[in-house]
Parts: sequence; C-alpha cells; structure tokens
Amino acid sequence: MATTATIPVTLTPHAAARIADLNLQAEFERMVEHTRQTAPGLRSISVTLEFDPCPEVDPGIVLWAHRDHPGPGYDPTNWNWGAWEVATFPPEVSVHFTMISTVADANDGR
Amino acid sequence: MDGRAFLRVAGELAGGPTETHWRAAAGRACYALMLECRDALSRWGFPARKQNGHSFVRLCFTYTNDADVKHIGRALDMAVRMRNLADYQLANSGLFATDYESLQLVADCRTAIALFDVIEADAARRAAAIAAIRPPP
Repeated sequence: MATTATIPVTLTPHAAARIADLNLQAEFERMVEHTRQTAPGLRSISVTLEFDPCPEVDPGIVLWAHRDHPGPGYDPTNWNWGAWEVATFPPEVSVHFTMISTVADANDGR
Repeated sequence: MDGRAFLRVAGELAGGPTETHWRAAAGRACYALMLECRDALSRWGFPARKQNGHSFVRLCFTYTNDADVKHIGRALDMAVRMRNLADYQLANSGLFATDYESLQLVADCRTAIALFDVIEADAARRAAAIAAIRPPP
C-alpha cells in the first residue's frame, strides 16, 4: 500500500478552476491531507466538479477517495469525515466540498 | 407515511441483484433523508418552499451553527451527489458496479436519521437546533 505522502491526487481542470475561483486552495489541501490520514486502504484521490441537475444549485467539488474494499459491514469513513468537516470549516467553505469514499477505481467513471 | 419509510425500501434495493437495484437504492436513501429533513424544518417553523424546495432544505442544513444539524446536512449533500450519479450518469457503471456503495449510503442515511431522532427526543437539543437554523433568503 502507498504511504500517505505518495498517494496520488488528481484534479479535473474544472475542479481546479473552481477551487481557484473560490480562493479555497488552503482549505482544499487540508481536506486532502485529512482524507489521506483517515481513509483506510486509500489508493488515490480524484477531485471532480459535480453539477446538479437543478440549475439553482451551485456545482460542488467532490473528493473521491478510492480505497481497497474494507470488507462487509458499515464503514463510517464518510460519516466521520463529515463530522470533521463541519467541526473544522464554516458553512461558507463546507458547502462547496464533499468527500465520498469508494471502492471503485479512479478510472471507472469517477 | 414518513420519509424514512423509503429507507427500508432502499435497503431492500441495495441488497438486490442488479446495478439497477443499486442505483434505485441510492435514490430512495437520498429521499428518505431529504424528506425527514424537510418535514423536520416544517415542524420547526421553516416550511420548505414549493419552488427550489431541495436547495432550501440543503441550505438550511448547511448554514447553521448547530454541529449536529450541519453534520446531517453534510450527509444529505453526499446522498444528493450519489443520487445524481445514480439517476443521471448511466454511461458506465462507476460506483454502481457492485452493491457496496449503495449499502454504505443506506447505512450513512440511517445513521443521519438516527442522529435526527436524538435531537428530536431532547427538548434542549431540539430548541438549540431550531434557534441555529438560518433559512436562505
């Protein structure tokens, strides 16, 4: 398994531009680092800008944490990350970001 | 019926045999949580508008000073993102190649609703949650 320092992070151009437009690079980097430290079996992180079908909702930046399959049963990684996010950032920041951990590969549609 | 009734169906779908079941599970799980949040807002004195009702609920659960309510809001945001993928991005299986992501989403929504029940059952926590809601203009 890769060490946390070598886990690759890839951003789509749209996601990178959105982070820059929002001037939230430092907050984003904290989120990446927290994901590296807390997502078990992490292989890589891909970051995308996801558009909502409802036009009144701004697009959101999603950190996809690609992980080894943790086995059966409830895995609280997403839930715990949400608790950290709301304890760390104000709503004006957290409203733009979501972390979703997945066992899917980075090149498998996300 | 209550919104959470959809969660039982979501669980059944997540345990189903096909990608279609797993995608449908994501939608039902998302709406179980969304409707619980919407109905709670209504009970608390913030009825959702007919227009842009979804974004109203999401923003109420984001722009609040109550950590538990915000936490539920982040779970709702994740559920909405998953539901959007499940219902609209069909070009490849992606997250829905197996049942795993839907099973986890159902469990996360169940956890969020359980936290909701803890808030509702405690008069002081409920009052604090209501006082912290800042509905969007």
